[in-house]
Amino acid sequence: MTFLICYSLLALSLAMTAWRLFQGPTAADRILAIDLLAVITAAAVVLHAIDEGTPVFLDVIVVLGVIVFFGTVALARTLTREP
Amino acid sequence: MKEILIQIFCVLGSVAVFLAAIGMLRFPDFFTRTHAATKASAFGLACFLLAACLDFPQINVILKSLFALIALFITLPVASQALADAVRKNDKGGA
Repeated sequence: MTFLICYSLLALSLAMTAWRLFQGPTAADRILAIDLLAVITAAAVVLHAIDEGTPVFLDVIVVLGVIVFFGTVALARTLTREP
Repeated sequence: MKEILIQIFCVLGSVAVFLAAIGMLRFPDFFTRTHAATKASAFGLACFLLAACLDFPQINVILKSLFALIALFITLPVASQALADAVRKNDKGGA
């Protein structure tokens, strides 16, 4: 029951962040929304690992964090580059 | 007792992530959205990883989640600061 509430809250967060990703006025808002989407996904992966009782899924978070960090920094550098 | 603590940490983490998403949706400016999205989501993820450490009390899992926590706590503010700095430079150059 508790895990169901947690899953529902995370799904609502994903929906709201995806709305900001689709609607965001500037490109920076969309990049920030992608960053937050990755964090919410990592939280859902940890919750699924706790729910299932298998700690194998914890490897996913490390890879996801590193990939999203490089993506966000690269996109931020792309914003400032002169055309 | 341990299960209750794990459930409390899971609920706390998901509420923090939910508040970050609400701030992401409702705040009017880009910089306020940066403020909402970075801090609250990092706190929520820390709560989830603490719950995972409580649930799997093996040295393997604890070291792995500690590494993930340190990596995320270093990389999330750095990425957010790079993004905010890019937006600020663009605003200054455009005006």
